[in-house]
Amino acid sequence: MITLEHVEKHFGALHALKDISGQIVQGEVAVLCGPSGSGKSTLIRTINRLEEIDGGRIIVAGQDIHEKSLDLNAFRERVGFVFQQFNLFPHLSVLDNITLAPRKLRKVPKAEAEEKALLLLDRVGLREKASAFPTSLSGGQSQRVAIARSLAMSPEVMLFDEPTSALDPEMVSEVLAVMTELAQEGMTMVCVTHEMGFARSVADTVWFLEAGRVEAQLSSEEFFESGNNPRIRAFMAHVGRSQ
Amino acid sequence: MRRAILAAVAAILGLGAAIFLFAPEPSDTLQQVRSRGTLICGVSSSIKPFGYLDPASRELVGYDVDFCRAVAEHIGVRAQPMAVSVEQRIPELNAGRIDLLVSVLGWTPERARQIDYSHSYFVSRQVVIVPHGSDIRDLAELANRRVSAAKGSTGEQYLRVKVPGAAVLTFQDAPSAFLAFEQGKVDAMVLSDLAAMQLRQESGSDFATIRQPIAIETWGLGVRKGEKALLHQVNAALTEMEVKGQAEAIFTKWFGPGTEFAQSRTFKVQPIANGDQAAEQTDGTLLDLLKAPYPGWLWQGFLTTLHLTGLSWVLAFAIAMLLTGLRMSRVVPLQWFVSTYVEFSRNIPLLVQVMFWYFAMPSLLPDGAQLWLQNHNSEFVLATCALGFCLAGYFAESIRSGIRAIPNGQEEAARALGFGGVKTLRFIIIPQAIRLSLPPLMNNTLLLFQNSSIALAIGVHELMYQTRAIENETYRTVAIFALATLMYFSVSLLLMFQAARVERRLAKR
Amino acid sequence: MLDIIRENWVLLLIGNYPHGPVGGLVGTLLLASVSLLIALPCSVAMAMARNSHSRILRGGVTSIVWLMRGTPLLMVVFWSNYLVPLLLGWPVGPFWVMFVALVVYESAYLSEVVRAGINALPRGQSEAARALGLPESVTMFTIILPQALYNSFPALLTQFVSIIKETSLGFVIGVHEFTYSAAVINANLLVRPVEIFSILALTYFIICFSFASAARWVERRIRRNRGLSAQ
Ligand SMILES: Nc1ncnc2c1ncn2[C@@H]1O[C@H](COP(=O)(O)OP(=O)(O)O)[C@@H](O)[C@H]1O
Ligand SMILES: [Mg+2]
Repeated sequence: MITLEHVEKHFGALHALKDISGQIVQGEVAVLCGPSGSGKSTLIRTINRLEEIDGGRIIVAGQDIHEKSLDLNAFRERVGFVFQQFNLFPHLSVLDNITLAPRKLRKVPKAEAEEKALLLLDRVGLREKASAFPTSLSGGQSQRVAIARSLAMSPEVMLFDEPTSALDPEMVSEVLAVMTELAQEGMTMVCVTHEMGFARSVADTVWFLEAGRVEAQLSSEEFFESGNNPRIRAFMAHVGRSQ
Repeated sequence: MRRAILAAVAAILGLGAAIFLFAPEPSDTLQQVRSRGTLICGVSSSIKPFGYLDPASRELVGYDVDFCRAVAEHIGVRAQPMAVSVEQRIPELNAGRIDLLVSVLGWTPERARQIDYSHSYFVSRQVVIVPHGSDIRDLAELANRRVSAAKGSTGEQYLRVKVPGAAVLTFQDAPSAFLAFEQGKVDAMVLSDLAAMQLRQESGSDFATIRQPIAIETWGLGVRKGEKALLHQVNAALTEMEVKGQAEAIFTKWFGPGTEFAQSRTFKVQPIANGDQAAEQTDGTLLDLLKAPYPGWLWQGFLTTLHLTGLSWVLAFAIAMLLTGLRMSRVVPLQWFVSTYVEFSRNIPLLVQVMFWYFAMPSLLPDGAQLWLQNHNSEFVLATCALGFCLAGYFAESIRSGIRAIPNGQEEAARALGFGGVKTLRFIIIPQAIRLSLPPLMNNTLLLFQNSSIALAIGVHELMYQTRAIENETYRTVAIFALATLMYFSVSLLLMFQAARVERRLAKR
Repeated sequence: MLDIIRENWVLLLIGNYPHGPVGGLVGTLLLASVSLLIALPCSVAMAMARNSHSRILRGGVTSIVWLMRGTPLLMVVFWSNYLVPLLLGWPVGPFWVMFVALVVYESAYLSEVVRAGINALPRGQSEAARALGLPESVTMFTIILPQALYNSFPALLTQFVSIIKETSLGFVIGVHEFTYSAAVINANLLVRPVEIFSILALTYFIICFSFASAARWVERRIRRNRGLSAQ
């Protein structure tokens, strides 16, 4: 589904991604973890070209995403992205946030788009907030709306960049529940997260990044049993303490 | 950024060059007037009894307006009097906004090069008035004295020729010029004998007239150069009015025995005697601008602008400091005073503030101060005050925003270290506030520099005033405007760069 | 003072309309409103041009903005007074000359306001729109501009106050506006400048202060609304 080949990325003098390769197959849930500043966000953002890369190739659903002929916006319709900071549009109601893309891009009639949006809101448990404005939502509710907004375009892949990091602890679980359900339905997902419980129960593979390099690319079981990698051990100890 | 500036400079110059290629197309105004059905006359709106706004009906009336109506009637169209200022009347005519000037327009060779005159319809004596008891007794004694006149009036022009040594101060219109005379800001005023007579009655004040007139001028109606058909019609109309007695009747209506003037008519409609002398306007070259007085005028205007800006900046900053002190005083009425001051200075147009300072403020001052002003270039001093007092409000507000941006912890920390109230202000708050408010203060300074041009409205000889003066004499509008724009732009650019630098330096900290 | 108002209030309010153009206070407000109405869309276009990919467009608009910021309004007014009739080829009254000057000058200043509003939005807004696959134009018109204009509404109101004050410069080229009315009355009465200019200043103050206060009130409200948001 997603193939990375020797991906390179620089920010000026900073070498942010170093020769990153790997594959994520249809229906797989991959978790990216690693210390802060290791390049997780940069990597996940390259997958829908919110960041441009300097070298290598990225292929999503058989499509080289740096091909000149690619219609970038049409491509992005097929890839959902959920931000740490939600980035809901504050001037639009919850319902309008969700229906905006289907109506503007797919020309879906208003009634139909809203019907689907309400179903999505059901799924994330927020139907009663349909006419509310983002400013009146809690963090957990905002993030669930953001997920629903991405799902409205029926994407083939969902990318999550630390979706729970900006949330108060008691709201983390409601968002993870939605994500877990999504994974169980067979969605291909890439998640940057420090929620190791989620990684252990939901993820198929775990990528461990450090200083712009993929240090380990393991199945979830291997990752959590691997006592032998000292850096992973240090990282796990750190994450464990902060939780 | 540098490229943007280069482009801007190129734009100024390019615009200048492009405009040379355009010129208004000649057209037959008479035909236009007929097809439009109205004759648009430019008349004065503040010169009794020639053209003025009747307060009751708010309509333009007067001797000139009646002539306009009569000429229109002769052509067979409706008259549409339109108010024009003395200074703008010839440009307005040449720009095509009006068809015919009936606007207290005396014949002069300079004007006759710019427009064509009809037969005469009025004859007036230009005289000089002085306060009773003045030591000025004849024209020669006007040298080195301050004389007011309406901007662009004949009086101004004759005065410059006949008494080159006199310092001429020009004003938007005759009443403003008279107001300056009455308030003692000038030693004499040049105007027509009728206006003098009328001002004496209206204002109730008395003054002496110098016997020897500065000029006897013949007035005509003005049309654009080359409008032969229209000029012919106008002259025919005037001649017919003379023959039928209509011209006499209009004179009697406004100046005859029943009026405050009680005059009898001593002239007739006739071709203006030296009218033929008027040479065709020879197109000057750009080099005209480099000729004797003009570069000096421009430079002197530039210096005056800098002086005005500098002095009013110092004044504004001093007042702003005072206001800030009062605001921090925690005495509620004082704080109110400061807020009111700031709101007034920011919510009244600067032009109005300048006019208020110039026309209204002196009469509120004690006599001694008034006297001092008269002897010390009052328009410059008052413009400095107006700008300074106004900008003080802006400065104070900028400093306040700087103080607000200081974190609360700063004052607490200072207090905890044992600084007292005043010491905290002096060593902790004010130094930080000044730094934080530097960028808005620089912006205010830019505003001050550019707005100093408004002082032209009260006759300060700053850059904009001199630019207009040179334009009025040379008609090299584009070149002189481009030059002045470039001068303003360069200084502004310096200020803007400085502001950007300061902002960058602050951002680094 | 009251007798001046009593005898001249119509002149102060509407100038010598219907015997001439609409003037007085109504003329001032009319001129300011029409100018703002036209300058606003121009400024939005300019702000967008300054964020565009075309270097020529960006450079051109940037130099216009710099030029206007570096030139006194009065200079722009005199340019307009000379150029507008010349370029159009037909006579243009002072009202419209002033209108053109204000639109050109204010578009440049307003475009800075609008641009600041656009740049102040969190980057996440345009990123989220891009991640959804919205094209740039849709992002601009449905996500960025509505928010930027809403957020800069107080600044726009403040700019309206500036425009009202700036219309007074029309007096210099003979626009029949409020200052002109006062000057005409001053010419009629001659010896009462203190009262006349006080009336003039106070009236301007009441109008401008009301709009400025409204701007502050709106700003507090907007900030409160925004303050609730977690973004
Ligand atoms: N737009 C950018 N410009 C310059 N440096 C950046 C930019 N974005 C990220 N970086 C740098 O790249 C490195 C990786 O950042 P990021 O991918 O955000 O890390 P993570 O998400 O793993 O914490 C960091 O050192 C960060 O400072
Ligand atoms: Mg990150």
